[in-house]
Amino acid sequence: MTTHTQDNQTLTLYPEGKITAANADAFRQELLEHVQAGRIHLTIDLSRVDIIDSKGLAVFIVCYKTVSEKGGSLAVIADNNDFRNLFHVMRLDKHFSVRSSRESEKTP
Amino acid sequence: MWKVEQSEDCFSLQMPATRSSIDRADDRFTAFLQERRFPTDSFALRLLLRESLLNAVDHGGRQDPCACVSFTCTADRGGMTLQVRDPGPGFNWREQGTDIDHLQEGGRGLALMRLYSDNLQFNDAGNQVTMYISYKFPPESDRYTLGSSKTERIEHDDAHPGQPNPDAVPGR
Repeated sequence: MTTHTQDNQTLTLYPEGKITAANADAFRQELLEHVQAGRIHLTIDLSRVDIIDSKGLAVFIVCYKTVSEKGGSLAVIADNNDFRNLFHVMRLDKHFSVRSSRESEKTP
Repeated sequence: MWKVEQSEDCFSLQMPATRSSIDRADDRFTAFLQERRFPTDSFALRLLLRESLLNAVDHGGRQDPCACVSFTCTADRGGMTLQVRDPGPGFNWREQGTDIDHLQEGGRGLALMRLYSDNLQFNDAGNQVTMYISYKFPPESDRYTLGSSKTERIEHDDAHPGQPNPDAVPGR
């Protein structure tokens, strides 16, 4: 997974392809390794993602809970309306930011 | 155990009860949707396929590669019917609530299936789920003709050893 580090605590990740039951555990492990290394302000950019299922959503929840406990934050960037709607109907956008890249540029 | 068949208005597959098979099923189903250009939300259909297969694989098939899960999608002018059946004994869907804890890790598969379908029903046993999504073709559309073509077997893979054995699969 491609990453872009802004500083010691801030990281943007660019997962690719599917975030689903078949690979959710590996994705979770990779995210938590970053958090354990102190990168507690995470942005996950979904521009290279094709599909997310319920197991994929669960990884975002675990990640949100983990970074929150450490005083960090989680933000999701999704230009795909289907993805934004998925986070919305599951009410996850009440807990962490889910925005398009244009919205993110306006309100960092 | 892999078998995929499709016609103009129907897509069906049988697959081993493994999570990796869900990705393969989604790829085949997505190709079918792209070829047929149904006037509907392909993201919703893919999500329904994935969540219903995931329940069938995890709960009905217990992720046993020798257990067989089946999926069928049938289209008509008014919408699509998706049906998934697993080899397990089912579960008591009547006791499944509709409220979920939004920060709970699990338990949102069925909620997604309800949200993204217009109608969802289980059989009595609870090992078969049927979902319906409605749509409308544009009035001028003459592309779609019901029951217009023969069934085409596009994939038949017996590489996986063993046959489905429902008796060997523990209950949900």
